[in-house]
Amino acid sequence: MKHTIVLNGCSETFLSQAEEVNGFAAAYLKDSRADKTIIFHCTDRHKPFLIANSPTPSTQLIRLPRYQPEIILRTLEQLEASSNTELYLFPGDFAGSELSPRLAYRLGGSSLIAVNKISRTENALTCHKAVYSNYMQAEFKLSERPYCISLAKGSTDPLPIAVENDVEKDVSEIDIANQEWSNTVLSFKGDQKSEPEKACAHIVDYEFVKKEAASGLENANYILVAGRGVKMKEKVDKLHTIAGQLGAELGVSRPVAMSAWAPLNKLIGVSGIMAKPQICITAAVSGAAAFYTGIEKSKLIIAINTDRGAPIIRASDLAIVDDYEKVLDELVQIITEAQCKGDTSL
Amino acid sequence: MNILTCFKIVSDLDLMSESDWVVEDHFRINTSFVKNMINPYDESALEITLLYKEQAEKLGSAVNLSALTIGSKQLDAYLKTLYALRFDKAVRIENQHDLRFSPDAISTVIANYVKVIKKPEVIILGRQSGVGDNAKTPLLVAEHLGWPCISQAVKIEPASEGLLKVSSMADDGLVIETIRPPCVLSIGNAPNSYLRIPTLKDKVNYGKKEIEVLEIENYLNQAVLEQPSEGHNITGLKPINHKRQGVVIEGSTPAEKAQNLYHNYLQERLKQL
Repeated sequence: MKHTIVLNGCSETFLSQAEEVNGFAAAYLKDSRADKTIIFHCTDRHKPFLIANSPTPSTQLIRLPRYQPEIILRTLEQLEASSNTELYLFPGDFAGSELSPRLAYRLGGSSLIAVNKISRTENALTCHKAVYSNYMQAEFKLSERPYCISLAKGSTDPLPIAVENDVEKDVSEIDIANQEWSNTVLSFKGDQKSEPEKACAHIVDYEFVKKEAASGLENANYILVAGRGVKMKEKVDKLHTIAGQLGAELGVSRPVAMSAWAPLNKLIGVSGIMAKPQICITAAVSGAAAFYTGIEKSKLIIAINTDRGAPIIRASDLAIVDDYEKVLDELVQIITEAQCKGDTSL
Repeated sequence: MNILTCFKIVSDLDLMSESDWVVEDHFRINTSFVKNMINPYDESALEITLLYKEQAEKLGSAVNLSALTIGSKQLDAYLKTLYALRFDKAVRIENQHDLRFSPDAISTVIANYVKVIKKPEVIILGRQSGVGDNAKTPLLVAEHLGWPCISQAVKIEPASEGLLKVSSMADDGLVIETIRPPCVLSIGNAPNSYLRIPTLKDKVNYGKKEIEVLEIENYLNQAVLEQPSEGHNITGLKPINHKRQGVVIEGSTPAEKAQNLYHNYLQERLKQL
């Protein structure tokens, strides 16, 4: 099988995208031939970094003014129309999830989002993904080529791109901002609206506000998670303080984030961050599967909940059935006393 | 401006117990005994639509809201609630077919409905719903109609001359665009967007309007309905095992339990961090 990787080099998350897809390809595409990596980017300044971290020896750089799905799709549609690539692989981020099904539609292929495992069978690609809000794992057979899939966040371990000094990378470049080129390459037969600007003529004004600093949850070793059972913002604020006293990062479940009791960059679960700490303490979390997927790679899960029947109890290593506030207050006191006694490792 | 907001009613899967996850024929799972709810992303879509209407009307712009769902008669209660919340039109496309994993069929129905009524300039949908977790419907509606799509939208505000100001989450920030319709807006994680509750007075005054019921066969080929051709078919389904040891730390007081946790399980691990 021949596969092509598509990455968004306009985003600061480029490296994590590349390593995510590289890990997936190493796990499931050993027998497949990597055709190329297509990287959309916005500035020449980052080119050496993008090329160095391209997961494949062959890289196609496409420069555009900014990440804009309509332009990217139109470009891919034109460039790949005659390609014999069987599989397009997208990362599991927002960009990958929106581009993959739309590209499949335009190329007459089939698509699946949030895929966590694949295998090749004759005339089909077998894909696995979570369904029923992460309570069930489904197997699908994709039959129409090209297959366009985006990955499930955190489903495979990221794999750094190997640096091979003696291998010269094959790099080709396209500049979408170049009007002459785009008029030629992006033109549809009989379509006068050929320039990339026309592909996003619906946009009258554009502003980008950079994300607030990363919460550090993705790489945190120790996290404390507030669930719906905390019931109010003041309690989440208190848990933020407790997390600091414990030396942990605070995360929250979806109901807490959707109630705006904590910023979205604290959201853990399939619609947020997939954490993989050594220690995860959950406070008043019920344990919905879509949330649990975000902590399931934790080495040790400790659940504190008043309800012994809550799903999180069975899905944890250790559980305390009690009021989370009382237990955590005591735990802070114990740890503070230990620090005072000179246990500086805490 | 005419806005069509599409929503789906789903079972609250978090209420299912472990033993309830039984795979039946045709990879079906009986979830009928747990309560239904508006899919959370669609709930945000509906509330964001209402917020937009309020703001636009304050600025003197007329907004006509339609709500569309696909399914059986039992969904009419939700559509009546939307009437009470001052949606102008509530439409249900009757369907008894299994379209759980058929976002292309669903998006074709929505797109064909839009082509027939020729009305909405803006279509708003939640980005994903449980059960199928396909996360493709808004994107494919846009493709079928040849409209642009803004995904992960979290806020929609009126702008001058019939334009919309749409805020959407990107992987490394927030994009704020002023958009010229037509367009499809796919709603992502939008905090504080729980659907408001209608007053009793509005329920009485507006909640009894007639729901428009249409047949799905008018919008999708019968053969496709019986065997949706999505380029993918489900071939397996099994529960995901989330079980761990679940050792309950005993103690007569919270203090005793915290002591037990710290000394027996946490102290050494914390040193190794």
